[in-house]
Order: sequence, then C-alpha cells, then structure tokens
Amino acid sequence: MGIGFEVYNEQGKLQISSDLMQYYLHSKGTGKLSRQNNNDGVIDVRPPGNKRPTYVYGGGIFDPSGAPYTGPTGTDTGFIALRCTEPLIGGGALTLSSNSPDCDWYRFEPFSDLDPSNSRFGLQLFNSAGKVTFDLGAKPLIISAVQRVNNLSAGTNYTLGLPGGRKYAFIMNKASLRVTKPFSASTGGGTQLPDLNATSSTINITSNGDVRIADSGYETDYAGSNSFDGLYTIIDVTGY
Amino acid sequence: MGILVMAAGIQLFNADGSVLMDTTQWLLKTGAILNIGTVDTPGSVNVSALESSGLTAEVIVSSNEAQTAPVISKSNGVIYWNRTADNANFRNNIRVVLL
Repeated sequence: MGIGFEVYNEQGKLQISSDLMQYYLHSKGTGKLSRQNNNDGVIDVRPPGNKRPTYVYGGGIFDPSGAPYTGPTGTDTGFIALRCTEPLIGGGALTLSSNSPDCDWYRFEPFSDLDPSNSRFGLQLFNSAGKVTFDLGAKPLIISAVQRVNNLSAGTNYTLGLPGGRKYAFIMNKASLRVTKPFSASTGGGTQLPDLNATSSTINITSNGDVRIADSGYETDYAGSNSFDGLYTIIDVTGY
Repeated sequence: MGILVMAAGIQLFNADGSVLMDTTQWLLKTGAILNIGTVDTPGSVNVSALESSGLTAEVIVSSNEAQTAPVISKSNGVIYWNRTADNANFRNNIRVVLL
C-alpha cells in the first residue's frame, strides 16, 4: 500500500488494513433455528420492537404465511455468525452437520456504519475516503479459521480442531458456495425453492435485517446439484 | 496489561486487559461490492490483486430476490458468475470478501 496502516499475522495473512473495510459486532441474541419448507432453516435476528413479519428462506423473502415479500434489497449487508448447540459446536472442535438446534447469533456490520466520535479507546483507522475501516471502540469480526469442504452432501460432516479457551461461532454463507454441478430447471419446480445456495449450510442477511439459513441435506432433492464445495468461516466471539 | 512474547504482528486488548486478537487471527474484509443486477448476463471479476495480501477472495451473494442465486465459480484468480434458472426481474448483488 502507498500510505496507511497494515498488520500481518504470523501466517503472512493481512490482519488489519486501513484500506479495506472490516466488520464489527452490531448486535447479538439467541433463537431457534427452525426448519421450514424443504429443510431450509430460519432464524429471526431483528432487534426487539421490530414487528415487521418477514422471514427469509430458500432464496426468496417470505412472511410467516409463506406469501412473497417484496421489500428493498441492500448492497452492503452484514453477516450473521451462529453458535449452535450440539453437534454443530462442541468443546474445542467444530463439527458441521445438518442439525438445526438452538443458536446464539452474532450480527456483524461494516465499520463505516459507526460514528467515529463514539470511539472510546484504542486504535481507529480510516481509508482514503475518510470512512472508518477499523475501530477498537467496537468489537471486530475476528476470523480464527476457514474450513474448506469438498464434495459435501447430505450426512457429510467436517470437524475442525480449534485452540481451547475461546468461544467460537461460525459463518456459513452463500459466498462460500462452489457449485459443482449446474441446476436443472426441470427439477424442484412448483412450490419448492430450487435455490442452489440452499443445498449447503448457508446463511445471509438482507438490508432489512432478515436472515436466511439453509442447512445441508437439501441437495438430495435435486438431480444435478447433489454436492458442492465451499468454505466455512470460524469466528472468535470470546467476550462478545 | 503486561508485555507478552509474540511471534509477529500486533495484539489487541479489550478494555479489561484480556487479549481480543492475537497473531494467529485475522479480520474479515470487504474486497469489492458489485451490483450485478438481474444477472441475466454472465460476468466476472479479477481478484488476483486482492489476493496478493495472502488472503483468499471469495464471493458472497449479499442479496438476491430470485429463488435461485447466481452460479459462482473461481478459476486462475478470476471469479465468474452465471445467470440463474429463474432470475428474471430479480435483483442480485454480490460482494467479494477476503478470508
């Protein structure tokens, strides 16, 4: 970089950069990761008092009755990290499976959303446009590990050893999806939701604060899309 | 807060003095945000420069209204997306993140 601030970790990865936007903990809570419609999972992370009855699953946005919701769609939405009950996370190891248990959720948004004058202490970074890209006044989204999965299909599990004494959550999002076989429009029609991203353990959040999650096992419903490759991001939420 | 022996880099501390981040971890970063509209047309983005920092560029479909999200692949430092089976009149945005 020409000017600014960078730190690299001991693996040679860029740890902090004033040029690149990083993310902070916006809010957190607990909820039931419930199954709806073809094994898609839904969890509600809206702030208390937000009564708008919208949920997201399977690639579309729907209200609880199943009717389509046509709200605005954002551009720079945040991320949701989950910490679910067994067997998704246990002890110092992380196991990815198709279960849908109770979960703690952690919502992260870009630092540019923060008012820099509210910072309390520590390091604060700005990019060349004057946007806050990192601020120790808020808790950052810290990556502890990234787990690559290959040819994942129903019943497939990945276990990752992690350092002890820390609290972990994980992001399973559509970004990580590597579709290995094309979707066939002739399958999964009608009221089903033929979302390739729903074939993996995936999660994303819209600008409305709605979240959708789809867990593994769905892929067997559709010929031609019965496995995938992807990445799972492990987040350190110790003290969050 | 004491002085800790560290292999490289920086250590960040919480207000209570406990370690917030050590030299093995890193932070999720946005590499680019691309509005690809209704993704009726396939497209691509070169991420070679972004990956020069030792991080890996991946794509997140940050929002999509279609039932089917874009098909995404990556080859030789280029991320490609393709149109989806039912994407007509649906909006999509993708975000390149660094992991």
